Amino acid sequence: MVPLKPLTYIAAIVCLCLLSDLCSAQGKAKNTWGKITPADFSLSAKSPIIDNNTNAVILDDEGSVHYIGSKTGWFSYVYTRQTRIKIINKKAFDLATISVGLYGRDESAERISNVQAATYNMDNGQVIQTKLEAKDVFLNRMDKEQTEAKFSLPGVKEGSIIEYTYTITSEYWHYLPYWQFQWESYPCLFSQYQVEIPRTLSFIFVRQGAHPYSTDKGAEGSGSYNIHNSRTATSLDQDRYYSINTIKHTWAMKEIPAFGDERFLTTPENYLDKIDFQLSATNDGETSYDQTNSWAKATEELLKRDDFGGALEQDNDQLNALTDKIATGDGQLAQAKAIYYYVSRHFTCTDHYDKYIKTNLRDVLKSNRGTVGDINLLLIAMLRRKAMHVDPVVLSTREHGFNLATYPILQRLNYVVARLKIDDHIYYLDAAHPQLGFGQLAGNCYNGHARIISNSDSASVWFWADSLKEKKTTMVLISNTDKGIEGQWQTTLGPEESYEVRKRVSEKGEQAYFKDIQTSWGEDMDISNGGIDSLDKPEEPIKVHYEFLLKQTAGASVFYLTPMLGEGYRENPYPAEDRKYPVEMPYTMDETYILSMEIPQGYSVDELPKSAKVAFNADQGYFEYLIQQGGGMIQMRCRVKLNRAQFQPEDYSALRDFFAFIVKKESEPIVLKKK
Amino acid sequence: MKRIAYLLLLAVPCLAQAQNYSTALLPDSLRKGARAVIRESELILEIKSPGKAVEKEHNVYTILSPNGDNLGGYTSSFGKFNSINEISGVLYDSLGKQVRKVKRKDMQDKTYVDDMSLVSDTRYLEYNFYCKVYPYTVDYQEEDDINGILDFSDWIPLLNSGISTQHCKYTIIAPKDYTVRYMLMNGAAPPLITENRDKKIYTWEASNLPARNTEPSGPRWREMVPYVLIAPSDFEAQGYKGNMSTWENYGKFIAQLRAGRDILPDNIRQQVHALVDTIPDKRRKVYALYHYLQQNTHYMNVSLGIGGLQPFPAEYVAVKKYGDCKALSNYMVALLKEAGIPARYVEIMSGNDAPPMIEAFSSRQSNHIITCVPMGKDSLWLECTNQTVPVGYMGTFTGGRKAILIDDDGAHIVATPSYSADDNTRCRVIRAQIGADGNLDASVNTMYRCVRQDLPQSMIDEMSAEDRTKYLNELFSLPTYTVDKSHYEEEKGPLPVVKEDLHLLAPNYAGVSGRRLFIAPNLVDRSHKRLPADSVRKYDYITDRAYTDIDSVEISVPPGYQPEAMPEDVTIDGKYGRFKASVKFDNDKLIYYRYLQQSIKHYPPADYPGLVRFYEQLYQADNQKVVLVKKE
Repeated sequence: MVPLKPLTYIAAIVCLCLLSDLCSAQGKAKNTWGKITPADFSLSAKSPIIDNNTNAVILDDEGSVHYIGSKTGWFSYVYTRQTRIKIINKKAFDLATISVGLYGRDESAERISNVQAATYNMDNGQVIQTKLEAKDVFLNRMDKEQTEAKFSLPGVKEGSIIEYTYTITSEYWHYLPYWQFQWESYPCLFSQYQVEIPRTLSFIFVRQGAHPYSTDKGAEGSGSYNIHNSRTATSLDQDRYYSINTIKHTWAMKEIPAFGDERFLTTPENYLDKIDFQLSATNDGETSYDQTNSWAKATEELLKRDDFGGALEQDNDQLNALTDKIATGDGQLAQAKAIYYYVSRHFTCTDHYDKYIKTNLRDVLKSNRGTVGDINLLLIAMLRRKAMHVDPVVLSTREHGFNLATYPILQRLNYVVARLKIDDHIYYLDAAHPQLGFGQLAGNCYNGHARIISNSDSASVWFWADSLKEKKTTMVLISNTDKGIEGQWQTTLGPEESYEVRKRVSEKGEQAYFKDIQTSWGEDMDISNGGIDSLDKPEEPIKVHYEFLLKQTAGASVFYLTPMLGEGYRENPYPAEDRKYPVEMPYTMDETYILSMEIPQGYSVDELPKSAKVAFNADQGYFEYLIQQGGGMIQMRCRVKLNRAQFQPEDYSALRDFFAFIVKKESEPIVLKKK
Repeated sequence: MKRIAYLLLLAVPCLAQAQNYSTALLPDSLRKGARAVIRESELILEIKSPGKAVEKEHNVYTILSPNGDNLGGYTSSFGKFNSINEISGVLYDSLGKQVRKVKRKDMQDKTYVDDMSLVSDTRYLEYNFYCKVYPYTVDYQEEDDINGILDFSDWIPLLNSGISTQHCKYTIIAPKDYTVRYMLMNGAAPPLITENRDKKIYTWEASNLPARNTEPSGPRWREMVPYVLIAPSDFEAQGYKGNMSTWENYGKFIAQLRAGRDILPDNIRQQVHALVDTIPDKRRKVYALYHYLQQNTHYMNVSLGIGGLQPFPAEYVAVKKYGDCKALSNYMVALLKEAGIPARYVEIMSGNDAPPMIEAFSSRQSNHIITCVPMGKDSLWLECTNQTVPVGYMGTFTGGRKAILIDDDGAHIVATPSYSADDNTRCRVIRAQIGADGNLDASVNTMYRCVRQDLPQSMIDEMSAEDRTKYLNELFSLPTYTVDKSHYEEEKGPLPVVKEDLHLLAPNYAGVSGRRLFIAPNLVDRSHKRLPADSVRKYDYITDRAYTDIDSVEISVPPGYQPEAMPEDVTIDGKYGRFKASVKFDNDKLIYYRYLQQSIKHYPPADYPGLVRFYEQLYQADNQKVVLVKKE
């Protein structure tokens, strides 16, 4: 496996027209469609990316885009994909069912055409072809804007080669489709993307991934475009043929290994070999219009959009009346909290990945539900009604992948929160998760760059997982009473765990929560007087406390007590032996456990675990285990602290060893002997 | 004339009109233990002919708390068999004041197509008020035209756990000469039957039923509450006619749907003969053809046509190499027929928690199709949608239950193989060494059989080697460990076996503290189950798995140690299961033995404390540690 350099994703942004070194025609038009020979079935030409884990090999994956004139708009793009796959075993049969998403409705709907597919099997040294029939291509309407074209290749079995091609024609000329060279679960021998763009359009592209291009070349050409011309004011609507020079570009990669699957990774999307495009300029034959995006432009656009900033400007009597009714309390902070909790508790977020407003704020008010955009922009509108200084902040959640501070790409931003400023204090608010407190964001918002969308306060802000501290403190006091060994348990949780407990208690109730704790202890201890503090104060950490009676075999001559009781690590959280990608935890951890224990009457300490302290990577964290006895008491303090949430692959084995040591140390018992 | 019209108006039931749904009117008896209350649930089914009906529904639910929210939403499907004429919803606040009203255009229109299906001709409407102010009341009304009848709605006045019912009513209006078939379950009351001109009217009605609640590992909902099974006699759909008054007639209908659909193309027929003609043994022939099916087809759901009942022809599967359970079973039957082996198409309710079949009431009670090759006591059962399951093995998906076997003269009720505690075994032999540093090095050899082999079998067949290694490294509750070698062998067949050889290294497995070594002799098979002790049970506790585990462990330790504390031997041989654990120290070796057997059993509430104790004893025994001290 090729070791990846850390943070290879810091993507390169290049202007397409600049990069085109104008070489002679690329012309590697190898038309191999349907030409499959017995030799194609043997993968004997051993490639290092194929091994006994490989369930299928992508033999060839080629895409191309060119533009045509449009009857309804200006241009349409025509995207064609042709893919050939060798299916090695049943585990890869899913590859034989292809789903193609089509966007839009009525005349602006994307169209699929030229769907062809066939399966090739070897039978007695002969290649047998089974073709897909046109009637077996189904169109499933998913919702108002989305249609899925779906087909499953006939005749697939282990060892088959499948091949398919289809063409999509789209009016959305400003979105040049992206291309992903690397497949998540399968190695790919050859992947190529070719684009031909009329000079009237310019794109820049964003590329990411670790593997090199085998081809990266540009050329010039020309094309003829039949454009329904309604763009010039002087002439009547008419069809016209234009001959326009074009830019052609080809990118290809060879022998791309499967990505594989890793735990503790924000998302594979950040690491896959991929190329993405953004419109940078248009030219109508007379004038060139700069379409290069900038945060200033993007902000202006977002502020104008009816489904974003524009919605905040609309007058809304209902919203005003509601705000005035609920925003009680003295001072801006009290009113802001009243509004925040009203929105977060009355509205249900049904789509956490859409930063835009679906219809309008009136509809959101009426239907009690919406996208994260609906809900948090509603929150902003209500806060503004009270003349508060509040703006939307757009970001990309961890599972959605990174976004660039240097260049705005709106599709890469899927989430919106509110930034509220009261007396020089800044609060970030998210009403789409009802268990969050005022001023808290969910863990998946801690994904680096975010942008304030504002007329006055536009700026970049950063939310790093390293800055999110999950701090947990547990205190246990044990004393001897006439009932036996009694104790008090008290744990203060960090924000993430507090969130989880609130969620669980709201679903099942407090009683069930303690019943689960009792059940987990079984007959080892009886718990009583359980309580959870700050359940209804979501801004504060949860504190769980209860009393317990330790049930120990009475009168045993020796007894062994693990001082961590039920806390601590019993298994290593990093089970895998090695690691290809960084470990990206959602927060930093800091866990402290304190025990103060009276030595049981009639016993003395025969053996006490030794105190220990180990550092992780010098100053990046430590584990401390301090224990001592004296005055009939045992005092213990144990702390695991990591200052970072992200670790590079080369740090992985140290991380695993660090936790292995913790697991070992925390399992050590105190040996008590009868006097 | 006027008088007749008036009479008709009186006699033909119509849906109750809007009432006062203020929650102040709810009696405490309906609030107790309830997350929601059915204020009104009325269904009127008017059967016009064996293939046509009109269904009117009116449901009013009051949601008392957030865990009742799922009743606040509404979904309704439509397609070839029914069209929705009218649908509407109203939201009321706790005072019974109307907050909002929605119509069809406000609802979402959605598809059933998912990853496992290509296309479906049925869609559904969905709506939710997303009200968060409790209590609130939703009121949905719907009227459907039914065109094609295969079944009727059952009457179940207590809908689900934690939902009480204030009033509910089910009315069926049928032509006088049409037999509406029903069966009263768990003490449900018979209907009131009246006649009016050429109509016969059946009415079930109930009021003020307090909520009941299911219990963990308790009986299924339909085993706890009264309900009425209702089914057609004559029925018709998409041009096919049938009668389901008897299983015989029902079977004839299913056979009719399959008629002429078992014709194989010539090339497949030749392949069948090439495969089996030289095999003398009938059973081996079946094995060969089943293997052929598994190698050459896979599951894909294409939901078009008659209510998901009619299989695609054998020829379709022969070309496409895919199909759903019906198409693949139909194809399997055709392959066997070509080989001269009579086989049957079998309807079954699949799933680990499928409700038992009601044999005395012939109706649609299945969601899956399998194939049976009758061979007296040793009949072979074939699951045709899975490419890796061992031949003849049903597992927990379709094993141990009744099914409907379709044959030439209709249908018969048959039982699929069930697997006892003696069949579902896991025998494990471990040889291990522990060093003075506490590091463990172990060879773990395990033989899994029947239900016990399901997990390792699916792991072998569905995971890549890399994923399997990852999985194995997360499987055991050992502190930190690495599986550095793994090897599997399968013996496929009706009682399948998987043999697993693992080698694992677990640094610091044993606790080392000064002179002592702390060793848990049970390395990887500890019971983690503990039951809540203070639960008050109303219903049986059901242990739903039958299995036997046998572990023999030998751990070598460094010389010079002697035991300081040894767990006591445990033997439990009672109604809750059989358990035995013992550990000896001999010649620098720990010898550990463990035996656990449990069966599928119902325990009455009085036995619950005994069960709690049983699992606690297991937990304690399994987590015991041996303490060794270095000799002075």
